[in-house]
Parts: sequence; structure tokens; C-alpha cells
Amino acid sequence: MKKRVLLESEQHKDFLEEIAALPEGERVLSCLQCGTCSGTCPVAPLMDYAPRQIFAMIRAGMKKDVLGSLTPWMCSSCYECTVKCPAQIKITEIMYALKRASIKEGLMNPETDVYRFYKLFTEIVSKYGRMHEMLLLMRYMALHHPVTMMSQLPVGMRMMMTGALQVQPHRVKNAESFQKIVEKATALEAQQ
Amino acid sequence: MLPKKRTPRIGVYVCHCGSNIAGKVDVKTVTDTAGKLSDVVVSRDYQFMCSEPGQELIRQDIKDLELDGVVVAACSPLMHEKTFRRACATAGLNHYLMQMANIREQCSWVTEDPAAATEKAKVIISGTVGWVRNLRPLAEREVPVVPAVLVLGGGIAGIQAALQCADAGYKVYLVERKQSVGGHMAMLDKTFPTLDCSACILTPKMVSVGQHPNIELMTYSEVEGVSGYAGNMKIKIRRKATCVDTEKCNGCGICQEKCPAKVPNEFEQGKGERRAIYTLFPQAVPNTPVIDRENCIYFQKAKCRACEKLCKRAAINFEDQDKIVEVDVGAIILATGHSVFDAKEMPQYGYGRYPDVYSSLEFERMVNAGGYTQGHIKTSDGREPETVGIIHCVGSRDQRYMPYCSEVCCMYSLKFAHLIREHTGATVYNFYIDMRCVGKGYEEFYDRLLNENIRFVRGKVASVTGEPANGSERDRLTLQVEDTLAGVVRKIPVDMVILANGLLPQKDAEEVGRLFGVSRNKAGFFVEQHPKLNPFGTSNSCIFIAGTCCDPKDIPYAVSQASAAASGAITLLSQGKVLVEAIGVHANDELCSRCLTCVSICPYKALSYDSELDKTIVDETLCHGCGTCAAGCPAGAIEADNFTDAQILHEIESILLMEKLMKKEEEPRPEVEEDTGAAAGKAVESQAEYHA
Amino acid sequence: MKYLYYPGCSSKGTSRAYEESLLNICHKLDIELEEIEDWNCCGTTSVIAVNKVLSLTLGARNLALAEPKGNEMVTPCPSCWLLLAKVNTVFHEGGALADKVKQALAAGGLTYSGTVNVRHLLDFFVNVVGLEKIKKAVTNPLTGYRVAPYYGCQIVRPYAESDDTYNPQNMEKIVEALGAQVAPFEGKTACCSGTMMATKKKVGVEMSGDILKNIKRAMANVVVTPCPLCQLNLELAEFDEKQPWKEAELPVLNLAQLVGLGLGLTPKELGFSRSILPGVEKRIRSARSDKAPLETAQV
Repeated sequence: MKKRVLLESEQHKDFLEEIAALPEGERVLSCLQCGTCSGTCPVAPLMDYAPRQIFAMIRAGMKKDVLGSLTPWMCSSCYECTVKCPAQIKITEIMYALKRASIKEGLMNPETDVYRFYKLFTEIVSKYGRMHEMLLLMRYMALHHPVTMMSQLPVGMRMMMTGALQVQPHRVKNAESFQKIVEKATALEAQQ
Repeated sequence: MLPKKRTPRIGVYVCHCGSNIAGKVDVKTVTDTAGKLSDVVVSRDYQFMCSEPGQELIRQDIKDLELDGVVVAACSPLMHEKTFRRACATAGLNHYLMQMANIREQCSWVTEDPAAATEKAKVIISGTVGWVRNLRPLAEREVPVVPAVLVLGGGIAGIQAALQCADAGYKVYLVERKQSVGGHMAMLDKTFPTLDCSACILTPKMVSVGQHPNIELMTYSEVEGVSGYAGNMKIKIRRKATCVDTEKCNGCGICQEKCPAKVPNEFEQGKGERRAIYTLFPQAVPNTPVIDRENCIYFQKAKCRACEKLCKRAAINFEDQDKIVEVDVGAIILATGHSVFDAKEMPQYGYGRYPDVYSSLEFERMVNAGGYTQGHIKTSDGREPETVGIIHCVGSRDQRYMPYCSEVCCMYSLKFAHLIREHTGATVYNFYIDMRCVGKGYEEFYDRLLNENIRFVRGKVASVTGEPANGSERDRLTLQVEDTLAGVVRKIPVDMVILANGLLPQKDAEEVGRLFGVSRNKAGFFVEQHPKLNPFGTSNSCIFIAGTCCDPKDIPYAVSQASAAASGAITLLSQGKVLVEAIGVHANDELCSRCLTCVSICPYKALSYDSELDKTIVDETLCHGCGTCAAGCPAGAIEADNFTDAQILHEIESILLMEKLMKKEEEPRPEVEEDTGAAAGKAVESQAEYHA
Repeated sequence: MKYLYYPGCSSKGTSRAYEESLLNICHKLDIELEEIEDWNCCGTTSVIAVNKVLSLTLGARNLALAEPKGNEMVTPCPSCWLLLAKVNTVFHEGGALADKVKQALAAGGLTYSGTVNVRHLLDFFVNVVGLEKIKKAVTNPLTGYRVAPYYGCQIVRPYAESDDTYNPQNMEKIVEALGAQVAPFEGKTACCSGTMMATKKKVGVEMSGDILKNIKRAMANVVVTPCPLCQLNLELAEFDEKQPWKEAELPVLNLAQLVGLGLGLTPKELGFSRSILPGVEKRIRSARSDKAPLETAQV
């Protein structure tokens, strides 16, 4: 977050209402800022803003800062926060919504490319109907993290030896009907 | 038979209520239209009818114009019915001949379009005029009031209420479920913010209650039945068998010392032991022990009887039986207190799993010199703690358990912090969401604590685990929490965790509520008559509430409320009589088919069937005039005063007539049509019959 | 007994041993699992982050394919199960989102009315097969094994079904039914890091590593988990990149492998060789004669 005096004119005034209007956003207005979510989050120390702070920023209308933060990308959707929140806010589902909104607005934090993994996964599954782990790892690691991939070679070898990584993709047989479903779903998502 | 009524003379008064009504409704037009209705001899409008000049308008007209019916078109009767009734009564008009037409809550406040609101106001007033045309004068009945009070619950609120009523000269029956009075306050060590010793300030009051000539103290007793009517209630009380003769026992305590049966001590929250024959705590009032039959070796296995052998006063009586006692009272004060949230429902805090996680009451008893550690603060393995964590809001402010704030936890958590520092010098952390210190001296107490170097962390603890924060802290507990103000997640090792459990209603609040006819809110607390202006009364004018049975509160508030409840009871009793609602019901013998539907649906059990007389009887003192019987009677044989079918039908006809006229846009000067006149006449006749 | 079966992608890939073990168990217990024909990836986690309607639709397609065949379905992967349970919740609540998913399904000629009840394998073993049946079928009582039951997150949060969110016990019951000893440890529902093992390896190794630390502190000699990703992540956290041939010290078994072991299935039938860690079969054999620890396990 750029250190600055926050002017109301710069803020996205309706950001809180937008979040509250989402089906996931039920009860987000009742947040007490108690900090249980941050306290219980196993990855909070990795985030630039802990979950509670994200909600404080949503309240302040800091849309760009929120969608550009590391927070949603570090969330492993373990649901600890959701289960412990005294206001029973669907925090994990809101994190998913922030992920989607961040991608939609192109505001993903440059320090992480987790979104790439998610997008690749979705592309592969949309095309084949089933996950192709080898393809996902190759396209993600080889293209974007070649150094890491080299260091993971022993694991990769081991996985190939044990048959865990398959070379041939599995496909859904009713490809035509499946494609129509995927296209329609994608179009309907864009509609909101 | 009464002579037919002369033509009614009705006055209509339309209130502007500032802009509340006049801002939406065209009050001038409405007044004009009302003035043109049949039998309306005067129609006025005024800014604030409830004001003194407004009321004077009505009073003057009653005298000058010989009005025999008044319609005040204004706010809800809940607001000002009493005001206008009084105004009419002082001018000599029977106050049941005044009715309010609600053109505010039911019209101007809920209608968006001003034209529509104006029309609606005209219609409402026309209906009310139609009703008032046929009303009969009624009078409240007076019944004598029994000059005695039942106070249920012997905690500080019950004690305060009992003493106040007793000092005022009234007989008080103080019924307490446990064997001693004192309630939760007797468990406390010090009280915030003055850090007065709780027992020191409470026990003198307890002794007064035990010795007051006007108070009949019934401990180890429960109320089983309530019957009767306002001001004259019969209470059935079960006095449980104590097995100890209170006349003979001198409280020497040898029976307790020698009893071989050991039981976990509930007063000490399960820590520490008591015997099967026991007093609740050393300063108990009365100070005679009781035998806990479920754990007494004699009652369970027919052996022992050591207490009997050792008692020098022969006070033990194994043949003792429960006794049923019936008393008459005029007023009741419920002061049944609260229960405490069980933190086992929040497993993340480790209560019940780790021995060094304590509930608030467990810690209260630990730090009390009379408690299970004789006042020493120590961990379960006997060491003095070096670090203690106090967690606020356990169960409270939580959608899953209690959405409300329990009001006293911040203050008692601060008190704990102070006591721990004072006794042990340990490092203390208080984990809070908001610091609620509202009360005299409370904020100053917080400042005092800030200056005692307590580590305040604004953040609700996420978890308490036995997992060490860093490798070496084997036996300690680790609290994980976000320090929201510093903006970091912290892992804090502590030796002891104290939870600030929230307050809940008593577990049997539902049964008690049903017994006394007191409603409860969503959380289960008793509901007051008005949250702002009558927080100590209930919908029943003779039943009052005080203390934590209506919501969590601190001791000064409980005591104040108890005195308020006592003053309510005293006011009632001092009149010597109570007014019973005038609106009652009358059964028409000829129409009654003896189906007894009314008897079964009356919520107040006011109706009964007398088989000898072959009549349905209405007990006027129990009848609240709710009209349920009138609605339920298939033969239409029961009618409520001023709510007869004919009267209501005429009101409806007046409404429809006004609507018809407005549609036709004719000159609103309706001649009373044949059928309405006949109905009106019929209504008058039928009323006359009932009063014959 | 016949039951509908949704394998999920990992059952055919990195977690083949899970399905192999499960099918062999079912063969032994006379349970017929009918695999949903032409199933697709359920669309969980990664897809939810990109397209919500698509993720629910992908899940719904499987339920739509299952519905004509029956109303009871089991799946080994808790993440698949959670997504399918969410689809059912959306369908039961109705509303705009349910309508969108229905429209998408209709584009491919499919419909779903919300009547397929999905269970995860742990629920299946305890509440459908039953502990008694499992106990009776044990031919290789697992005495000598101190098993750490690691649940992971998705199987208890946000829905705990028949178990307790904070202190689930279903796996403990199975471990005891198989004749083994439970080694209770702190953090049995902590997150293994999920997909972060792939996207942020360091974090994944740390989070899964912390869980292993707690398990080792409890002196367990076997870990069991119902989630294929948790199994992989714990193994990856244990895997020594510098000595990739090093044999497993603490084998991590999935639920079917442990149950199968108790039922007398062979290491081949249980796919021990498919583990990332070398020497699992050897270690499993030797673990049962481990000396009992001097102190009882610390919680």
C-alpha cells in the first residue's frame, strides 16, 4: 500500500456495498474487526494484509489496494476463519470472490503468479474435462519457474517412476456436449 | 331496559403532530370532511392535541357542546390513550367514550403518496366515528390487593428488593432455590471498580434478610404453581426437605467435618470438595446445612448416619419430607439471576481439555481466600504462574452463541488482571475486541490498569493450544492472536488462561416464564414492559423483574433495578386496591350451545362451565378483555364490551361508506342510511340487554 | 452392496494407489462401486478462483450423470466431496446461481434436481459400511502400529457432516477397529497448504513440515489421511531432495491403504510402491515391531 493520506474522493465508495451484495457477502457488514480470522489463518504471516485488515480496507473503499494485495493469493481455503468468525462471515468464499475480481480487473499482485496456476488448471480442465497433471506442471513450471523446476527434478523423476505422473491425458468422451456446457457456464459467469 | 340513546354528539379532533401527520396528510381537508359526518357536531384540528391547550380544546367542547363521544385522530393509543382518557374524564365524559383514530403509525408514517394518505385518514376517522357512535360507557372495577410480595430469587437483586419492600412495611416471601441466599455475588472475591470485598458488602444484607421481621425467608424452596389474578395471587411453594431441623441446629459444623461422603463442590465450580451434608459457604444465610440425598451414604446405601450420631442437638432428621406451602401475595418480583456460558462449546480455547484454562467463576473462586486454593493463584501443578492470558468475549458478541454483549466481562477481566498482578506479579495479557467500561469509575479503573503495566492486546484469541510457541516451552499453553492495533499475528506462551465467559439466562427460564406468564426475548431473558421507560415492569401490572434475569448487568444496575421493582410493588400495594380493565365479556345464555370452546381457548382461564347452573361463567377479575372467546365462539354467544359484532359491523360500514363517497366525489354529507341506522339501533339494543 | 463412485482426477493420477486400494477393499467386502460414466473434473479450488459458475457447473455435471443411476454416491477426495456438497447446497437453496448452473447444464442436454447425496470415504466407511463389518473383515490386526490420524481441512470445514469440526473422531474409530493404537497429536485438522506445495514450495514444505513435526512429537510410526493431496504434501515435506533414495521413516498412508492393510491386502494391491517416498513397503513391515515409546504420546 502506498503510504498516503487517504482521500475520500480516491476511494471506491461502493466497494463495501458491492461485497455485501454478493451471495458470499452476507453479514460482511457485521464484522467486529475482532481479528480471529487473522489470528487463526495459517498463512497470515505471508500476506501483506491479514484477512481482518482486508475487511477494514474494504470498508474504507480501498478497492485497488484490496484487489492488488497478496492476501487472496496466499489463501489456501482451509476455512479456519469461516468456522471461527463470531459474525459468521463467509470469509473463505469472499477470498475466492476477491481472486475472481482481481483477475477480472487485471490487478493481480506482481509478487506472485498463483493466478497463473489457477488459470492454467481451469484451461486444461475446460479443454479435456479432466486434469492432466503432467501438462499443468510442465506449462506452469517449465514456462514460468524453470529454475524451481530444475531443483524439483528428483521429485519429478520419482513421480514418473511410480506412475503418478501420466503422459497421456484423460479426456471426457462426450466432448461436444461438454464444450457446450463449459461455454455456457463461462458466458453466464461473465454476465454478473 | 334502558331508553334508546338520543342522537349522538361526537367531537373529532385531528392532530397535526407537528409535521408527523400534517407533513403527509392534508389535515384541513380531513377535519372538514370529518365535520360533515353524521352526528359530528364539532371537528377541529390542532398542532399537538396531546399538549395542554390541545387537551383543553377537548375539555371545553365536552362542557360547552355536551359531547357524548370523542374521536382523537392522532398517534397510536399506546402513546396517548391515557392522556386523552384523562382529559375526557376530568371534563365529565366517561373515558371509554373516547377513542383514538391512528392516522400516524397506521397512515402518515406508512403511506408514501400524500393524496393516498389523506384519503386513508378520512376513511380511518369515519370508521372510528362509526364505532364511537355506538359505544357504551364502562368503568374499571376495583379489587383489593393483598399486602404481601413474593420475591423469587435470593441473589443481590432479590435481597435488595425484599429488604426495600419489607422496610416499607409489607410482608415479603423470599423464595430461593439454593439453601442459602447470596447468589452469584457470594461467589465473587472483589467487586469492580472499588475492589470492595464482595462478601463484606453482601453478608450484612444477607443477615438483614434472614432477621427482618417482615421477611419470611424460604431457602431450598421452589415455586410450583401460580394462580389467581392481578393483586390476588396464590403461590404454591415446595419447601424441599433439608433433613436438618433449623430450630435445633446451631451451625456448629461438626456434621460437615465428619461426613465421609465427598462430592465435587458446585460452589467452587467443581474444584474442591464438599460433603453430602453441607452449607453452601461459611457465611451462608441460613447457616444450617442440608443433606444432599443423592450423595448421602444413608439415603443411597442405608448405612452411616454419622452426622446424626455426632450432632449434639439432635437436629438431624432423616424422615424429613418436602412440604407444600401456599401463600397469598399482591405483587411478584422475579430476580432469578443468570447462568454462565460453558466454554466447552468453544473447543478452540481448550477449556476442559487443558487443566490450566479456567472459566471466570473458576478463577473467581481460586482468588477468593475462602476458595479451593485458599486464595492462592496457582496452576494445576501447584506453581505460581509467570504469565497469564485473559480472553474477553467468550461466547458473547458471537452469532453462534450469544449475539449480545454480556456487559460485565470487560470490567471483571480488568479486575482479574489487577488481582493477578497484585498477588503474583505475573505478566498479564488481556485480549479484547472493545474495552467496555461504561459506568461510574469504570474508565478510571481502566486507566489504573493501563498504568499497572498490563499487556493489552486488541484481538480475539484464535486458539489456545498445547503446542509450544518455540521449541523449548514444553508445558505451557500457546495463544495465537492477531494484535490488530500493531498489525501482527502473535504467538504468546502463557502458564494460565482465564476465559471471560458471557452471561446467559437461567436454564429453566422458560419454565419460570411460563409459570408466571412473563415473556422472554430471543435470547431467553425476561421482557420488560418498556425498554426505556419501564425496564423493571412486565406486561402484567403486578409482576416486576430485576437483576440479571432480564439481561446481563453489573451490581449497581441490579440493585437500582431491584429498588425500582420494589417501588413498583410498593406503589401497587400502597393503593390497597388495583383497577381491573373495564372491558370484559358477556355470555348470552340463549345463544350459548354449551360447546365449551370458549373455556378451552381462554388464555387467562377466566371462563368456566358451571354444570349445576348450566351456565358459562365469566370470572370478571381474571378476564383481560382480550376477545379470544368472542372470536372463537361458533354461536356468537359471547361478546366483548364495546367490541360487539354489531358495533364492529357498523364501524366497517362507516369505512365502506366513506370510500364509496370519495369514489363518487360527492358532497360528503351522508344521511345515515336505513341499514346502518338499523344496525346502530340494534347495537344499542343489544348492549342494553346485556346491561339489564 | 452397490454404490455410485466418483473417482476425481487424482485417483487416476498422483493418487492412483488410493483408488487401487479402495477397489481391492470393495472386492474383499463384496461392495460394488459403479464408476460414474464419463465423469469430469469436479472443478474445485483452482477453478473457483477463476470462474464460480463454471466450477459449480463442472461439479453439477457429475451429479447430473449420477442422478439417473441412483441417489447415493461416494468419493475419496474430500475436496471433490466439498465441491459436490456445495453444488447440492446451491441447488437446495435455489435462486439466481442455481438457475445459471441449470442453464449451463441444459446447454449440454443435462439436468440435475439435487437428489444425489455425496459422501466422502471416511463417512462411507463409518456410516455405510460400518465399523462392525470392517472389524470382522480384519485378517491382519495392526498391532504395533501407532497411527496418527491427520484429517486436513476440507473434510471438517466448513461442513463436518457426521463428525466434529474441532475434534473429529471417525478416523480414530477406524484405526482402533483395525487393531492399531491411535497416536493423538496437536493440529490434526491443520492445513497442509493445499496447492501451495506447487505454487509456493517453501510455504508448502513449512506448513506440511509443521504437521509432520507434531506427528513425530506424538511418536507415531504411521500417518493416515483421507485426502490424496494431504498425503502427497506430507510425503513431499518428508522427501529429501538431496537424498532422493532415502527410505521413508514415517510412511504416510491414505485411508484406503490403511484399511486395506488391516484387511490383509498385499503391498502390491495397496500400491505402496507408488509413494513418492522410497521404501514404504519395507518400513510398514518393520514398523509393527517398533519398541513402544517410554512415555505415552504427548498431546
